[in-house]
Amino acid sequence: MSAFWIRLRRNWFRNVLAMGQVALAIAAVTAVLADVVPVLRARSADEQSAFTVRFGVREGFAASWVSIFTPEDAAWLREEARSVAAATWYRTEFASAIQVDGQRYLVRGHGVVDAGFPDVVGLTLAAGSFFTPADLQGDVPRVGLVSQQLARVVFGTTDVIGRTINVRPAEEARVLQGFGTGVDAVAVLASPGLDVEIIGVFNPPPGVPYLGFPSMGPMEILLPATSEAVGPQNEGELMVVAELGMEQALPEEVRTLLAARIAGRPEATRPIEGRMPEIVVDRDVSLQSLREARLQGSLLLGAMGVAALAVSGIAMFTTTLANLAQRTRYIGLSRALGATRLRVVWEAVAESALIAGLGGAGGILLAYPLRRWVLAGLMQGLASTPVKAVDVVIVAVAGVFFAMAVGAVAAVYPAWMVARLTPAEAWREGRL
Amino acid sequence: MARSRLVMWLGVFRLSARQLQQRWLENTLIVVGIALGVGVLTTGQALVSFQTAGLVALVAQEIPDWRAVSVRPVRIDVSSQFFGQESLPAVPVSEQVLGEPVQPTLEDLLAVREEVPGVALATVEYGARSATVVAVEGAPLPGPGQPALHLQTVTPDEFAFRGLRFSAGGPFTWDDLLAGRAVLVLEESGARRLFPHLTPEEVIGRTVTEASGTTGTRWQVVGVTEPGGLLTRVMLSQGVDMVLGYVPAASQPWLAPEGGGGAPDPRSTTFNTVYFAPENEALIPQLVAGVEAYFNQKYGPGSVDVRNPQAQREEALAWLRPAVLGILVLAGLGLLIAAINILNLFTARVLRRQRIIGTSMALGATRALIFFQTAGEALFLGLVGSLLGLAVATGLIDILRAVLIQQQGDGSEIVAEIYALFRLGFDDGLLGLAAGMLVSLIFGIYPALLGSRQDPVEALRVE
Repeated sequence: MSAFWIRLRRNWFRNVLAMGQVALAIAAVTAVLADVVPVLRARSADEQSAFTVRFGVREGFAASWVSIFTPEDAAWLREEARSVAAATWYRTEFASAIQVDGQRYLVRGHGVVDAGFPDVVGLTLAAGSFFTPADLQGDVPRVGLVSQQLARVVFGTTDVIGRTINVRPAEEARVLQGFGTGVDAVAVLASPGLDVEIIGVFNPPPGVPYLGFPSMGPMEILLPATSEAVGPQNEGELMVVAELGMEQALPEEVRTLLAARIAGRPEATRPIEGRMPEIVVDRDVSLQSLREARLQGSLLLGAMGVAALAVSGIAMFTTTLANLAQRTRYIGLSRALGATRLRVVWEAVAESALIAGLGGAGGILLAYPLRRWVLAGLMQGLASTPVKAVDVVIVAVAGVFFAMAVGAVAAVYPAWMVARLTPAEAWREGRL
Repeated sequence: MARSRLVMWLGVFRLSARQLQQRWLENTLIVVGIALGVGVLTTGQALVSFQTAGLVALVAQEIPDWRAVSVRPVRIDVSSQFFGQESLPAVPVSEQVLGEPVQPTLEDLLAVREEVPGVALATVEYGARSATVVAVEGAPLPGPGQPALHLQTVTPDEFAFRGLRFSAGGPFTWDDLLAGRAVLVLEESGARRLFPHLTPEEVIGRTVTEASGTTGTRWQVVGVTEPGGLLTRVMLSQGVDMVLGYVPAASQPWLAPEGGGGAPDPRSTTFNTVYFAPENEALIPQLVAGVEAYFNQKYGPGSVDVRNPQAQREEALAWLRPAVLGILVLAGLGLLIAAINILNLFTARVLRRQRIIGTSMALGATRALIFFQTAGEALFLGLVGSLLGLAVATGLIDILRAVLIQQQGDGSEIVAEIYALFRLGFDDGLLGLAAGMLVSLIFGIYPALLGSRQDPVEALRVE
């Protein structure tokens, strides 16, 4: 080992450059791996599958849906369907307006939800409580939940239980966004709105930027699905979560059960565009599938990193060639004293792997600034997977392993070329 | 003198060639490394060009905000605030937005079109009406099924704005729009669907009756357009039995009572957004000023939001810049690593050749000659590697294009047409070539300087 350090110091310029080359390549590869490893690990974890349930007609990408389901249908499904672990009725309003202490805000969105909602979306409460049955049975919503992010922006604190927000009419949000054609803006802005007391503060599930991502629509405020909130048209959607292992059976069971339940409703017998509507059950876009789809974008970056790694392999090849060329006399002497070819190859390969490994370790350190300042524009996305400590360890170990593998593979041919020389040939300087 | 100089340089060239030949393995590896680096960098540059110029130009055809001055009520732009890099869950509403919003009317559109210099075309954010075709020429439709009729309500200038050409007839006129006439321009495939045995010219003057719910209209065809832009073609390629048509904005004959009495005045129709296309891009700032002056005079300062399309395009490109930087840096890393190889190996080579260099200097070679010999070898290897890299880039671009098309999930013509824009452009190739040679030269300068600054006496002493 001491001989290795002596040789390293003797040709320090050449070896430091080689380490630098490997470090750059490994920095690129591990910066990309840091995105891939957490997603691959999350894939192995059991994840419940969610399904959207709609009623209407669909042809290709064109679809016409009819609002027919009610919160009671969701509750009934929870009781009756064996394959359903959780079910919810919900409606989202994108860009809703609220007023707090005289100041109006345009909010990313709010949701009207029923009792099954927390189980379907994995809602976590930071403070307070979810709606009680009494809250859901009223006529107008009198209580609500807000997200921690919203609480900080609007109130400056997350300690907001008991505070009141005034939820403005849906038309007001459209007017504020400039889409109020045909709306009496003055009347809408002057309407009293709905005063709602905050009873809970929630966080979105880990790794998502807001509740409702990716398929439900953003929800910063949750209101109970009371009769007035649901409205006479029941304009909302059903979402169900399958019991583990029953994902295949769920669509058929839900269609059968719901078809019988809604058979007598007027909307069920009214044709749409000349065709009879039907119940359509689709697997929802899961966060994991979104992240895996995003991985396809990482393929290009990964390919560039691999190309850089290949070039660094060429660099290690030439460095090893140069290092061995300087030591042919020493190698000749070793061979004359009984060293085998395999030992010569092993020494050269091990030395190259160590140099590359040191470069790889440097590359791991370079990966963070590279990812943070250069690749941030490519890496950031709404579906980023949280990176845990174990992911960092896996990526670091993988980075050093790749570096050492590249160094070892690159050194095999030059080492074998030198090992094949006879001791007499090797003794002559510049034989290589 | 000139001849002896030429002979000297020829000699240097032959010496370099022999020395490059002696170390053929090292030199081949340097060339391969540079080729790979230039290939990846050029491919990355071509991808960036495709995204920033090719795709942006294609999308600009479909986004009027990027090509025309837009006027809309003052409003809060939620998209960047709710979903941008620094997204917020809520934004406070200013007092200005709380006032009654001013929406541009058809009368404003016509007035600006006539009075403000530099306006070539005036269009609106098109509305849409979906209905079912129930009859053509008063008789039931030939063939099975009743196709859906998707009508876009537009101004007569819309056709020129989108670059739509007519295979028969022409656009409806501003008079048609103001008179509220039920006139229709059909897209070519829709005309074939409704009138399968007629040529486009024969379709002109025919009538199409549509119905939606309890309302319906009989439209008279005045024009047939050739296939439209990308979005239109995507919409029509969904396999749905649909006919696309264009009708005058602000004329809603399905709302007018029988006999036409009491219909609302089209001039008072309001729109979410109106667009004014400039006669040429250089006139945009004056056009923006002219439009602002009109609306400020009529409704008061700051009553509407007037946007410059050049600023909108720039804003969109600014979103892309971080990603572009990431791609180029990652793509350039390979070339950087390959170039460091030149530094490494040429430095070792110069140190090995010390006696030769000392001998050359003793025999009269100048320091400049030694410098240019070494730098020239580095540049030569860079040139060969870069040229090879362009060939590598061509192959990489073909592979990447195939992968990107395959990722879209279908092999439709539209996807292939879009990705046909992703190719090795002259500028991209030139950039790759220049980057390869420049980097090789830069990293060859230190070894060249090292060799040229040696003391011949010390160099001759080296064993």
